[in-house]
Amino acid sequence: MKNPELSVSVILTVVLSFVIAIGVKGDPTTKVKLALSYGALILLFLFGFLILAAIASGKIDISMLLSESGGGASMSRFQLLIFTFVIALSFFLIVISSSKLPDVPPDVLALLGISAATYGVSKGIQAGGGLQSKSGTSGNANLPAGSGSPSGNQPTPGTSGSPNVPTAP
Amino acid sequence: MRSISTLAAYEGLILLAGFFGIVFWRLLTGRIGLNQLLEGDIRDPKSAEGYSTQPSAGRAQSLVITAFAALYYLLQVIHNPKGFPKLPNGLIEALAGSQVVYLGGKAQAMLLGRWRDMLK
Repeated sequence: MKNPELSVSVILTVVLSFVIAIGVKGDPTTKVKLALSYGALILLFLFGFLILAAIASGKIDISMLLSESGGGASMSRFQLLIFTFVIALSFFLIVISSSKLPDVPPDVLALLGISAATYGVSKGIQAGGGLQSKSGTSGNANLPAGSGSPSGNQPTPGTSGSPNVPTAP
Repeated sequence: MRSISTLAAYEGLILLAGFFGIVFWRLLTGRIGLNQLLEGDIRDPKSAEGYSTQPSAGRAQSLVITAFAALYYLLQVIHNPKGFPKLPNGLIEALAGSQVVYLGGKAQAMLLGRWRDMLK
């Protein structure tokens, strides 16, 4: 089995939903609604937590999150990261305090759009300028120098923290 | 149904805090590199790679404007978390202008020399 954590999450969710459906009082429709609601919540949380755990343990490598093709950190990626965090945190705070999903105003789209457009244009300029990776690899420009595995996104077995090289759009 | 929304809030908090925490911790410890964040590539025929890096004023001003806009937005939300705040047009224009300056500088540094070489 490739991802046992995934199967364990699904089984755990089904078991908990079943326990909730049996444990709560009320008519069968309410029980089913509650069991499905709690099940969906638990499943979403477990999937999110799996990704979080994989990042924390290095199974998903985010060390090149802000790197650009020519080496060094990318200002446009950094900006996109900051605005994504700010908007996500704002969204969370608003949902918590008003208990409903807020309307997304054009300002938010402008903030994210400006940084995403900057990133896209920046990649275009790099491509137009013929900038190659400083490690000298032409096919995979995001590969860190000296990583020794230019073959793509597969981690090398037996090497901890081997790069799952992100593919820049 | 209140307990479901409470559970959802806690789950969101844990996941968001986890993602933010991991990214910020890795930024602080250098496992996500910020090297050369304020340095831009510039064409350099003398270099073996054809490019060299130099401190970039465009990147510096972009960083300042980005940090200002992000902090401003976050403070507005914290003061009134009932809805997304309205951003002043001036701030959006400043942000857009800052990006134009940054991209213009980058295009000038990377493309003009190349075009000049082609025209020779």
